[in-house]
Amino acid sequence: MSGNGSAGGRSGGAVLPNRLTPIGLRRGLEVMAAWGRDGTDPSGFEQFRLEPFRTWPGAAEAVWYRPEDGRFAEPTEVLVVEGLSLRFGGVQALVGVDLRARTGEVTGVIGPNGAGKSTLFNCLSGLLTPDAGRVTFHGTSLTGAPALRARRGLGRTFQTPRLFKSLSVLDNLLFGCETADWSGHRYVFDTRLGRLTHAERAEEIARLVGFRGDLATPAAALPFGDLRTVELARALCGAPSLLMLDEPASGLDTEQADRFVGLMSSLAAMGLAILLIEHDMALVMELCRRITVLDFGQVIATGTPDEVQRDDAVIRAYLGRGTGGHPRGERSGARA
Amino acid sequence: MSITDVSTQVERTLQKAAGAATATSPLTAVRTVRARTARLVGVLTLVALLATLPFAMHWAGPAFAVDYGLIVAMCVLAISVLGWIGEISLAPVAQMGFGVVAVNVCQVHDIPFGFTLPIVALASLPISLLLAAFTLRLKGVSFAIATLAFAYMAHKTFFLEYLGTYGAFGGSGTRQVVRPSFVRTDESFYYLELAVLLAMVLLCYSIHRSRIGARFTALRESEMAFATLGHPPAAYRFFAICLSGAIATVAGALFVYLQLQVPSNLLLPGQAVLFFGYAVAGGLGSIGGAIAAGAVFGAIPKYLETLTKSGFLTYDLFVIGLVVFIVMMKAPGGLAEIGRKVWRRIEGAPTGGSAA
Repeated sequence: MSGNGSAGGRSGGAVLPNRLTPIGLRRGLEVMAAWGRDGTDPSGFEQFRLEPFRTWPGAAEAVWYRPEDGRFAEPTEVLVVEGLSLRFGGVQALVGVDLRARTGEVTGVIGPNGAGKSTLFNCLSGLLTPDAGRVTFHGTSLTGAPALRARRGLGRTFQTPRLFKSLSVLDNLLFGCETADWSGHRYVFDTRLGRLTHAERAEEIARLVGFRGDLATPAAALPFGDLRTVELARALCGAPSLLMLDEPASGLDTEQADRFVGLMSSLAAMGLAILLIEHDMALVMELCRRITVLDFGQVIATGTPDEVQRDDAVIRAYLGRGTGGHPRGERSGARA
Repeated sequence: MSITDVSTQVERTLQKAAGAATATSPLTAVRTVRARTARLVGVLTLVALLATLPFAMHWAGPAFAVDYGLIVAMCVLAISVLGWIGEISLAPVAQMGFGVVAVNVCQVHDIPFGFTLPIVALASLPISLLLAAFTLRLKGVSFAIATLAFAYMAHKTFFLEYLGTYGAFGGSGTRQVVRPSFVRTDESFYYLELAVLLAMVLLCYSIHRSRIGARFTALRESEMAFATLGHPPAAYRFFAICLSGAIATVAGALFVYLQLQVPSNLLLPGQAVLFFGYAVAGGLGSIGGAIAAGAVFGAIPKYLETLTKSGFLTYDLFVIGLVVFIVMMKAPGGLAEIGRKVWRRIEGAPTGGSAA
């Protein structure tokens, strides 16, 4: 990760170069401004909308942001997956999958049910061992147990939220904070977080992702939307440089999904690399700069949202292989 | 937000969860006074009871019964510790056996008693390491069966030969140990056992209340999430196995000092199933439940044995089984759950709230 964000210089008039502006960033800032207007946050998000890098200290202290010239650093490749294959008995779950994730970008991984998306995430996080292939993370080979990978800066959430339900929200978040301290990584999206106590850090990140509840609440008592939010906060507490999100918007209502888009855009803008599995196509197309499409464990398309949407193989995978066009797998795309 | 603020928040939410009214309510004030009084009276009664138990119960039988109850409590505690990570261990009886062996070895080498218990606790480590080598990657039923297999292997290859059978199964005699003079009587030995048990309870309680305890809980609830958050599950599983092993091994050492001889047929691996039943009936994972299980399934049957002039021995396992059955039916959380409910009632708090 390049960049030097430790200086306190929150120079005004910061300009986001167009080529680095993630799709949806503006919307993200607007959504965050909306949060400020409902009176729940005193830090003045209305101003944030107008002058984000003056108002939100975290924005100016992102590792990726260079205060000396008011620009973001060049994006770098965080994750390179080459030829990843995995077989479960007679089923070829992944076949030579290639994938790349860069700082400041949300990379989408989509595909019909059973395409191998979650299996790919499990291989990357070390829960499954691939039969073949190579994964490079920050330029070095990514191997070892899940815990070691997490300490190298790989954070993830699960398709079904896996919070520790008999512990409080705060306790859940502290797990991430501990990992951040052990690994010694800086918070890519806000370096000042590292100077706070664990509890303060957990509180900041919980509020950042939009959790409005009491941190002492047992996780078992949270509604589904909050489970997802807290799981995301927990992953962020671990100071990841790559965040892997497995269907993070499923089960969220429209408002929550809007907030999610805003948050992801903003986090990416602060320099986080994000890998996103999602079935909500409208959300994926809005949020992702590049998309990899999997079907039966193989990459059938890679490209920008526009390229992927026009790809014949993708259309066939989602609509069905025959000319009759029987639907195969689910298509949500409910969000306009 | 500082740590203090967060602690206050935690306290406030716990109060809410317990259904308590706001601090200004007169009802709450009455409850607080009642709870404090109950706590004070409870602690004083417990201290008085523990201080005089072997003498106070002389009418029901010798102090051996309560001594035995404490050993059972330690063994159940060892099983409960592994319950923290969601595993069932059937090895504690075997680990007790290694405690018996360690005491014999110490005595053979004339090691002073003051060093024996620490040596026994340390000696449990290589055994736990061996057990972990068998079980570290196993979970659930596989873990339980592997620990049972370990116990059988230890019994057949080591205890039978070293400890003998005291004439049972056509075997030979057994090894004797001598208690130090200051704990020559069962009454005085009780205080030694009590001190060791209290030390174990304090250790377990402080671990359970610390971040390590939270990590055990997390590991039990989702090992996958625990690992992907950067915490190595194997390290915590190993720690739990070692802690449990140390408790069981020290319990074994005290058992041989209590009995003065422990032939291998008192260490049959199948006994672990019985102890596991006690642990579940006590409340798996609960420290207080382990002590209650020691009293209910260890001490009381021994007293009944004396009171009925050994007539109780005919029905002991039937009665114990019935008690376990009733406890499980009425309170799935075991004796610990019953205790919590009773305590909350004494304190005047609503019984439906969470445990204190």
